Amino acid sequence: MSDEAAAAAQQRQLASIASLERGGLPLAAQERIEELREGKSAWTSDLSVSEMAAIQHAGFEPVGMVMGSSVYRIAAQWGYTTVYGLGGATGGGRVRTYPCPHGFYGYGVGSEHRTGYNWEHRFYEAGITETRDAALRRILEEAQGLGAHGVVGVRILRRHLEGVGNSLEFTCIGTAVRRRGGPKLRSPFMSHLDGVAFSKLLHGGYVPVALVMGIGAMEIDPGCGTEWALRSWSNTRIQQISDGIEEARMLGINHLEAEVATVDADGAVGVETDLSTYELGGESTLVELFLLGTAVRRYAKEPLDEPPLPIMRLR
Amino acid sequence: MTQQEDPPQPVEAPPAPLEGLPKDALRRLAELQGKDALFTSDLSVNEFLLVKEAGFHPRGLVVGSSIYHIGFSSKGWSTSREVQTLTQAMYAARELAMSRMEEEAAVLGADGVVGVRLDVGFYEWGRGTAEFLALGTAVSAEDGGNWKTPAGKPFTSDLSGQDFWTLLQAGHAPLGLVMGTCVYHVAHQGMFQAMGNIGQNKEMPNFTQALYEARELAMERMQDEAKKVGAEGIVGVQIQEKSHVWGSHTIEFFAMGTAVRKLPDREIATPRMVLSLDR
Amino acid sequence: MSVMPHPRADAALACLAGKSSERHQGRAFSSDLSVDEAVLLKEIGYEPKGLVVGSAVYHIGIQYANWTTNQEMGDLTQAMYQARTEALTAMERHAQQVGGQGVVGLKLEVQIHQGNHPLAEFVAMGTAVANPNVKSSGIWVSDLSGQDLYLLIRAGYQPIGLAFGACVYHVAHQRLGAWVGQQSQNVELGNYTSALYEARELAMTRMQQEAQRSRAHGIVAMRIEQKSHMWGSHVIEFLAIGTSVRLVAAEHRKIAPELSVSLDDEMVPVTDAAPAAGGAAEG
Repeated sequence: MSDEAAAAAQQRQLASIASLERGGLPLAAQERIEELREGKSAWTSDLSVSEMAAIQHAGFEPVGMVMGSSVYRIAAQWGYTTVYGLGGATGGGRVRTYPCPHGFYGYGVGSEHRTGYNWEHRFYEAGITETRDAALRRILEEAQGLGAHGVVGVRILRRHLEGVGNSLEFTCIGTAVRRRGGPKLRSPFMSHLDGVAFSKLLHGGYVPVALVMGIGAMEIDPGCGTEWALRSWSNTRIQQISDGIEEARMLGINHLEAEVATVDADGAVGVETDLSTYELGGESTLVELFLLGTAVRRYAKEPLDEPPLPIMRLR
Repeated sequence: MTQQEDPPQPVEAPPAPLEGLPKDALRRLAELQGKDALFTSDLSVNEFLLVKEAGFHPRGLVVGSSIYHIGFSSKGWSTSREVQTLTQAMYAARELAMSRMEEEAAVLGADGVVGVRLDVGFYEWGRGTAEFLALGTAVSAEDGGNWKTPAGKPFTSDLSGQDFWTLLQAGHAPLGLVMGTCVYHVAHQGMFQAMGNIGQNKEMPNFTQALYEARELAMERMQDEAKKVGAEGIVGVQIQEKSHVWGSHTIEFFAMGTAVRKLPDREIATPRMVLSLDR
Repeated sequence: MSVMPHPRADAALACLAGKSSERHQGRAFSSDLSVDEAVLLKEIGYEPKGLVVGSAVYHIGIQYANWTTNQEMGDLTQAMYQARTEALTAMERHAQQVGGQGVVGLKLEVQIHQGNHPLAEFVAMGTAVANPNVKSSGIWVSDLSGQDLYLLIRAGYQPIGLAFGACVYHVAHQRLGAWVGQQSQNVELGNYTSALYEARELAMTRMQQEAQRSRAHGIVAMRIEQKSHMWGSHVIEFLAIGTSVRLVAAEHRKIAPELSVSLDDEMVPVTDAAPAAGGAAEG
């Protein structure tokens, strides 16, 4: 590459990064959206033929593919229990203690007797939420740039980057759709449901509003009571671990429902749940529940135009 | 497959076959009888509704099983032929499982059994043995007609609820499951014969003949069973070829289908053509 | 180019733009219902109330047993039963809190967490639903899908709950090994046959009894599962599980499906996936 070309390329890169830092889109994305909006290139979509037909049947048309992405470093601390109990790093989340059943107080990690703690990782949860928010803002900006009413078939990619500690990438890709002559919306709707599901949803009297997420992360530091129960011969319910997992699930579901209320929706459909456990140092475990769904509003109380026809396919 | 020698252990008395249904089974079936009795079924909701649509009511899950020793050593076998002791064993084991299942259905006073599954299962601890399990849902006709076989026993069929309804719509009724089996040992080709075939594309007549004969025997036996019950035909025939626990030169050819008879005065409706958009 | 009016699309966008009187009353719900299920349930008057979960983490050890006999391991049967019941009860409590009358699409699973101390986690998860026009006491639970529920209710039935029965059985296999080594006959092994028969029948009887206690008319979609979980192959849990239902209409209502032939090109494989046994060339 010539010196001028190399310098120009570097300029572009710097400008893109500056735009991202402001929360906006990199240059390449801005240019592509502009081309699509001005009708200078054919619309692209990853819709199948069936989805296209279904969307048109519902009164909409595809506009173009849109994407939003961001990579964050999550500043969270793990296993933060000391001789004196939990430090202040819990961020005000839920904490439950499991005192030593033999009456001793915590003598520090590694001692025979210690108090157990289940605590909510607020910083980790907040980190995931912020990463997601940044990616969502960008996909919505692209959709708005196209003059779309909404985005369907959004696929989410969520992963830690190898070799980059505590990193999280959040990417979402979907197809923007619009209804010609429809009213301008403050914010385009988003849905992880595909084109055919979108059409059925609409015919059923619901309209998608936004993608909603729920996240619950609990760290379980077993106390000596729990350790003893784990080594016993009998069949016993392990209270601390049961509680920790249940708490993580409740946090996740509550978070999701709070997001549904924030976008002023009636509920969420198609929620997918993903429970992971990670071994942290020592005997501690992190339990994480991640949920993703589409928030909807009911716009019509009446049922379908016609009840479904039960058929028996011979083949 | 070679059989390992275990350290000598006290030998039990030779095992006797199980006589009659276990008392747990009779107790369970008793609870499914009577005017307001509960029904159980492994029919899915769709199948349940179609069985009702067809004019039948589910009564209860019926089960029959048999753990059978089917081990065998082919040492010293130099020609391809049927392993008659194994054919008889596979027949006997399945018959035992099926007849226990039918007996459970008869105890319930059912007209037939639908959705029969016949599985051969192996446990890590049972060398040379297999569990033959027959499972289905017993049903009773709501119109009080005669649906039983000419021998007065409940009909059996491996048809799903959907196929059962469709069969009746098409003007036929199930008579019973018919089976034919043949366990065949294919001899190893002699070494000189093998060397003579190098570099040529040539049919291997001993294999061809062995597989042909075995399949024909299995199908013929199945057809004989159908003739014996006076069937008009057999639907849904499946042919399975498995070596179970015997090594690749010994194969069981197993053919199974549902024998059917014609129902008077039934005309099937004209199906409508549809095209689904959901893919 | 003028656009054809489309009542549904226009009403939907108007709702998003802020003008609608058809909004759902009450708190926001979450659900793992698919769109298909949500639409069908709405047809029969059921709305989702929320995703509900219950779980119980157990340490299930091995009980001492006489390893030379075939027998039920009563303590283990009890423990597996209790753990599942606790998970279900916790889920039902959650369902009550969100105002549900029943739970659809229940998944009742056992996850074994291996590690320093193997743990069994029993999880019950589903979507709570309710119909404002139906009066009900207690929570019904089912692993049926929205589609199944729609069909059952249209036919005049009401689900009551999950009915299950368990039996953890130990099979004495050491003697079997010795006997088989000396055996040349092909015969039925009566004592092993009756052992496994007994285990299955016990599980099924217990399931039936549970259904009877809840005054059900029948059980649909039952299955018998056999798993060794974390115990080794000679200890097996037989679980008979199904959904109990009651006929609430005067009589069963028939559905009269329409026969159809699809013009979709569906690929039917011509050849079997498994190669024919004995087909490999051997010298």
